[in-house]
Amino acid sequence: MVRDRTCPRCKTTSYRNPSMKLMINVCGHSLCESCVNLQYARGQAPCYECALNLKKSGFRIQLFDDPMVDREVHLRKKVLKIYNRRMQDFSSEYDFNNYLEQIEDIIIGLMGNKQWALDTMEKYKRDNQNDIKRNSAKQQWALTAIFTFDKERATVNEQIHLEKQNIEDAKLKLARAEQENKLQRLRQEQALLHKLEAGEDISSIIKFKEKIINREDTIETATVSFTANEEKKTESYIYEPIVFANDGLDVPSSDVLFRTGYTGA
Amino acid sequence: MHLDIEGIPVLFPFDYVYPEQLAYMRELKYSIENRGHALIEMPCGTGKTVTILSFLIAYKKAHPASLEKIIYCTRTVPELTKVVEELRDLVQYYADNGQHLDLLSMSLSSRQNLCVNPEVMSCGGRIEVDTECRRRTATFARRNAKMSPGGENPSCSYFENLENSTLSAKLPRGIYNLEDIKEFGKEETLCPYFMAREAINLADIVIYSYNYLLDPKISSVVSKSLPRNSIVVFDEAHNIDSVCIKSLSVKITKRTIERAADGLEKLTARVDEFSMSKKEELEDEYDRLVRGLREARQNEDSGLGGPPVLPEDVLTTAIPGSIRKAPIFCKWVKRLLEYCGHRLRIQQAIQESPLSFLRDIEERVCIDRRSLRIAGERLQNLIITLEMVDLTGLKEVNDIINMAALAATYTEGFAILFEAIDERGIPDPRIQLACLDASLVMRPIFRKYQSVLITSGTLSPIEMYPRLLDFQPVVMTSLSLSMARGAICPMIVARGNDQVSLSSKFDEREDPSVLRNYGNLLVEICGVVPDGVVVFFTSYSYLENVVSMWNETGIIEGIQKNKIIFCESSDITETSQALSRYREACDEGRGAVLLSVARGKVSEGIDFSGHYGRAVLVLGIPFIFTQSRILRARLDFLRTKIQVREQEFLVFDAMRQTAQCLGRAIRAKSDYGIMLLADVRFGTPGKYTKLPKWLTDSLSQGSLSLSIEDSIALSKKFLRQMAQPFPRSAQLGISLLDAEQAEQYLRRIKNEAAFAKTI
Repeated sequence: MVRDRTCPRCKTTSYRNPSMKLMINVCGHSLCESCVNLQYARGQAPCYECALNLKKSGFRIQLFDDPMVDREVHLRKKVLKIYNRRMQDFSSEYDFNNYLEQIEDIIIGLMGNKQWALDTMEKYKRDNQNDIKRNSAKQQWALTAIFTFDKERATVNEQIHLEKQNIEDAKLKLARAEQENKLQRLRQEQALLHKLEAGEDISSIIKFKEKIINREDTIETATVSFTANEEKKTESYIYEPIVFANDGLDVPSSDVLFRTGYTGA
Repeated sequence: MHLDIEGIPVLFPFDYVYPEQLAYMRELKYSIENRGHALIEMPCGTGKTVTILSFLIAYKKAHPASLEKIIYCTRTVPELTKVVEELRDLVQYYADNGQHLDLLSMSLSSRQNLCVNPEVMSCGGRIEVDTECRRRTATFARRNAKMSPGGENPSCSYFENLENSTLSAKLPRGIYNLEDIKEFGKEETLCPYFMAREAINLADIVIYSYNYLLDPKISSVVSKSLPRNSIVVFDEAHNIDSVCIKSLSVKITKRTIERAADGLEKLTARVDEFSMSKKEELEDEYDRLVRGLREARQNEDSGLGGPPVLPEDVLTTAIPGSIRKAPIFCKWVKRLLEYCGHRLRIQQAIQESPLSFLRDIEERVCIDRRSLRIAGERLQNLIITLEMVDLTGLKEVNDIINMAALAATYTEGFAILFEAIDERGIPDPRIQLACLDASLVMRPIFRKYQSVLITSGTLSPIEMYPRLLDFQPVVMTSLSLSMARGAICPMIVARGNDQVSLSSKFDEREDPSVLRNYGNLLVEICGVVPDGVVVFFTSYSYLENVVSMWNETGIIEGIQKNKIIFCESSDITETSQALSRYREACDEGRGAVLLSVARGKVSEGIDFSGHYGRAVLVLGIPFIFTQSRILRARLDFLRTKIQVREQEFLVFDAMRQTAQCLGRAIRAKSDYGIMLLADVRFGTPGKYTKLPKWLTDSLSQGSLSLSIEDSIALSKKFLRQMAQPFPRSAQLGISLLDAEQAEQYLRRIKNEAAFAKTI
């Protein structure tokens, strides 16, 4: 897997040419970039290994070492665009698992270029066109909007956004606290200098300095809570929908919007 | 002697007791009665183990219902043997005094330490022994052996014998060390390892090392049925947060992926084999998965360990349809491996959160979170179904799956780091899943067991531990060392004779005057202190630099006039050689100097009692290597989640390491030693107050910032004082108590505590 990648035509390896990029086409065979440019100068040519007629535009950069895996991932993404139901759309986990298995069978069929797989996929696409559109819109919407109070069912993307926000907030808070500390320390040092200049009694100056040192400690510990995760229970906010009078139609609910396909995407 | 700790009669196996031991027992009693956790620091060399054992056994005798089991966790296997021997002496003492204790104490270690089957033992390393053992003891292997004896599946007579007998009938109650279990196993032809594993559930006292309880992969297999009303003791637990973190961290390099790829090829080949010849087995498994049956395979041990996540986070839903069929699952694993290989090709260092890692996996190879969490179990099932014994390569696959499972289960408290070069600049691309939160592992233990005791000689600053491990102790004390004569002489050397400040600060590391002063200090100490001197540097590279500089300036010759020099290196055999020669040299008379590193093997476990360690010198403050990315991630996490500032944590870690180093010299009450902290920063209140109480008690205000001359003068005076004969009678009443004085002492502290409450 992490062995050197070799181009079958010019036999250069990634060791000899570290910037070599392999490109893979629909049949699953790879060629290095320069060989692609040479061989497909006319736009169309037979594949070097399986003689299938291929177009230059069909080539894409190969991400993975094993071309089979690369091809499979590509096919999988295409299939998943069509078979895009999520767990929430099923009544039981059992049904969802069977659906997942169906998907796997189709992918295996497509890898072997089986006609039945293509047909099944086409049929499914035709039958469930609306559902597919609706699901993909929902998933796009979920990527941008972050409305979810049920963390378990929130998708990964939504949680990432929340996480980023939390980290930013915490950083801001800490930066502010640090600044406060610095200012305090400066102020105290100034006060000490004033005392020295005024020529006060040595012992009182020493006491003042000790106070400063000790107070520094208390400032450090003041921002610390002895118990790590104390959650303060405050009254939770209860949402009351705004009621405004309008003389026209009611605003349609989000369900209706999705069902009828109006999402503005 | 007989002691009475507030109502509990304790039999103590010595004629005299230290006041700290009495105070310790009192604190322990308080925490057990209040069913809470305890954090107690007791100075080194004051008999912690015997105190804990004698009190817990006495308490168990007095209240058998409230304390069912004692679980004693040690750091290393030699410590384990020491504890068992102390326990044995204690039980013997009870017997001599007419009270027969009917106790069963069991210790557990790895197969390598416990196997007695000569065919298996001769295989060599730990992994080979495990493989051979599995070849004989896995369920399918035994089935095959029964059907065709003498065929390709050998059987282990010890294991078979054990399976056919009831252990509780055969095992006589008593104290079992690792050697004892092996002896018993050999005599009765019973497998010692599996016997010990089973006996843990029957024993009153269980002694094993930390990871049998902390590492989720092992504890789910070994320690799941320990009762709630037990007490867990973590001995030498000052580094427990690092142990917790290591148990949930995974590292993946190019080699891992290569080996995993080989293992996967083997697995795929086997699946193909089975789908031709033994189709029914695969179909059987498939049916079971479809129906969601999981119980049947739970008890089998596939040899890869349990799930890497904590027991309560293990997903209990059925296995998703996308990985049910065996060949499809193999393809799934291949995709995951390819993804890891792809990410290892990065050129720069990146830090990611688990969530963005999951999102990237989903985008690139279409693997969703749920399957990542269950994949580990699917792999175990497959291995058992395919009757695989040779697990080379599959362990690496399991590691990668574990890493993904951890990332998929825990969204907080982990960081994923991608690095292209390691610390020394050598290209070594790797992915590291670093656990940042030590409390994740400890939380279930604190919740499950009624009482947890974390104890060590150097737990200061002690307030950090409840914050780091997220628990509320009912007892959090640091006991001081009672000494009849000041047997420790800690000094902070802040400047040289030329008034140059001594420091190991990064900018001043190359400063020749600082190094020269360090050299002078060492030469003078060698001239004054008899017998052995141990020197601790902050890192290996620093040690090498300093020694080469000293060589050029002639300091090494100065030292060699008085003592022989030995040096610790990163190689373990060299170090043990150096150590044994050092001890020889100390025995000879003139003594020797041992140059070692503060975070090395010497400072972690080696004792320098008596004349082996008369002076300990810590050159500089042993801060941890601050440029490591994992440390940066951890500091970030601590700052945001627990509000522990960077500096605070680094100082805490450095001070704990320093205290460990200093504690090496004092191993008994009659021991004495000089402790020199050679860095000007030690003199600041922010640092020296964080040393353990038993050190700061002997550290006078005048010794906070000495020059080299002053420290030598003080050392001379100290050594002359210590050389005077010190009869036991002088200690009696102060640091050594007999039965009456013990009673008086207990009464006194009880009154003091009661008085303190009324204020």
